[in-house]
Amino acid sequence: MQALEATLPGSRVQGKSDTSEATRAADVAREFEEQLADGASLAFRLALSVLRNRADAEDVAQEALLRAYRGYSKLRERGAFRGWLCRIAWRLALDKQRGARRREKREQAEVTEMLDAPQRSVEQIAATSEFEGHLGRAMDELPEKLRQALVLAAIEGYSTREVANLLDLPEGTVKSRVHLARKQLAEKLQWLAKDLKKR
Amino acid sequence: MACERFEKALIEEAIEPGGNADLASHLANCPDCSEELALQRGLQERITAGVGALVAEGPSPVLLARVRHQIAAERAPRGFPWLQWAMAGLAIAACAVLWYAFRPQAQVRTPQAQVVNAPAQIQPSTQQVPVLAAPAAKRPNSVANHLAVSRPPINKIPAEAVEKYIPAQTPEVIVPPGQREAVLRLVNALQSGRVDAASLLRPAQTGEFALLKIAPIEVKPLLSEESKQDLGKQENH
Repeated sequence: MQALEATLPGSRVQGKSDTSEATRAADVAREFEEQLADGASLAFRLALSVLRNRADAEDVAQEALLRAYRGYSKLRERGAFRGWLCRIAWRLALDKQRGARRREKREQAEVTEMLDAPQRSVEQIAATSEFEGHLGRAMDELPEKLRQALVLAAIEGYSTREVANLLDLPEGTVKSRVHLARKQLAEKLQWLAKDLKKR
Repeated sequence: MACERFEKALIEEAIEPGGNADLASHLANCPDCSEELALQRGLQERITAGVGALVAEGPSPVLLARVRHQIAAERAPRGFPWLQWAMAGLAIAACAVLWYAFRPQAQVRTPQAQVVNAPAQIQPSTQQVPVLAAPAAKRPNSVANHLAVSRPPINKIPAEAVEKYIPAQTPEVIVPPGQREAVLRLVNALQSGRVDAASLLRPAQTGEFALLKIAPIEVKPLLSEESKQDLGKQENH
C-alpha cells in the first residue's frame, strides 16, 4: 500500500507548493490499491478462460494491471475501472492466444496437470480432459461478444447486472448473449451429446 | 431420435426451461423428445461446469506481489523527461566538439598546432634512441653509425637551425644477439632502394640468425613555421 502511494504516474511531489497535488495523487494511488486485489482476480480469470493456462493467465493479468495502473490517473470515471480492466485483459489474452508456441506449451502443461491429479481415475481424467478440450475449442470459435459475456457470467458471484455493468450493456443484452452463446456451444457439441447417449 | 421440428426447441428448452408451450405439450406424448431433452440438459450442465471450471481458479498470491513490485520499480524519477533529453543532447554536442577539436588531422594541418608541436616532436629524438630489442644490460653488439638510418639532406637549412632542432648525435641502433645479419640486410635493402621483405625474413642458413622482429625507425625532424621563417630571414641576409 505504501509502496503505491505517490508512485502513480502523475503523482510526483515537486515541493511544498504542490502539496495538494501530492495529496490528490496519493488518494488516486490508494484508490488503485483498493481495487487491485479484485481487479487482479477478474483479469486473471478472464485471461484463464481464454488461455486455459495458469502461468500465461498470470502474465496477462500482470500486464493488464500494469497498463491499468499507468492509465489510472487519466481515467475519469473510477467506477468504470473494472470494465476497462476487463477489456485490457481480454485483448491481451486474445493476443497471447494467437501465439502458436504458447498453444503447444499450454497443451503440454494440461497433460502434466492432468497426470498430477491423483484423486481422479484415468477414465475420468480422460473424459473430462476430452470434453474440456472440445469445449475450449468450441468457445474459441464463438464470436467475441458472446464469449466474453458467457465467461463473465460464469465467474462465481457475478450476476447478470454486474456483467452488464462491466460490459456497459443493458441486462437484457447480456442475457441474450449468454443464451446465444450456450446455444451455439450446444450446436457445436451435439455429437458429444449423442456420444453420451451411446455410453 | 427426436422429432425434427423440435430439435432446436429442445436445445432452447435445455438452456431456459418453460419457454415453449408447444414443446411442453409435445413432450408429454413423445418419449424420444423427452429423452433428447434429457441429453440436451446433460450437455448444458457439462457446458456450465466446463465454463465454470475455466474461471473457477483465482490467481496465486504471487501475482499481486509481482504487480506491486513492478509498480514500485516504475517509481524511478521521471519528473523531468525534457531535462534528461536536453542533458543527453548537450553531452552528445560536447563530445562532437571535443572530437572535432582534437581529431588527429587537426594537429597536423593547423599551423598553430604545428608551431606548438614541432619542438615536442624533435625534442624526444635527443633522448630516444631507436633500440631494436634487448635490455640495456645485454647489449653485445653496438653497431652505431654503421647501421644508422640515412637521413635525407635538408636543403637550404643553415647549420645553426639544424643544431637547434636536430640532435647532434646520430641515432644509435642496438642489435640484439643473432640479429646482426638481419639488420645488415635491412640496411642494404633500404640503401639500395629495394626492399624485399622475403629476403629480410629468410635466414641464409638454418640457425644463422634470428628473424628481425622490430621494424627500423626512420627519424625525420619536423620544422616549425617559426624555424622556417628564421631560415628564410637568414637566407635573405
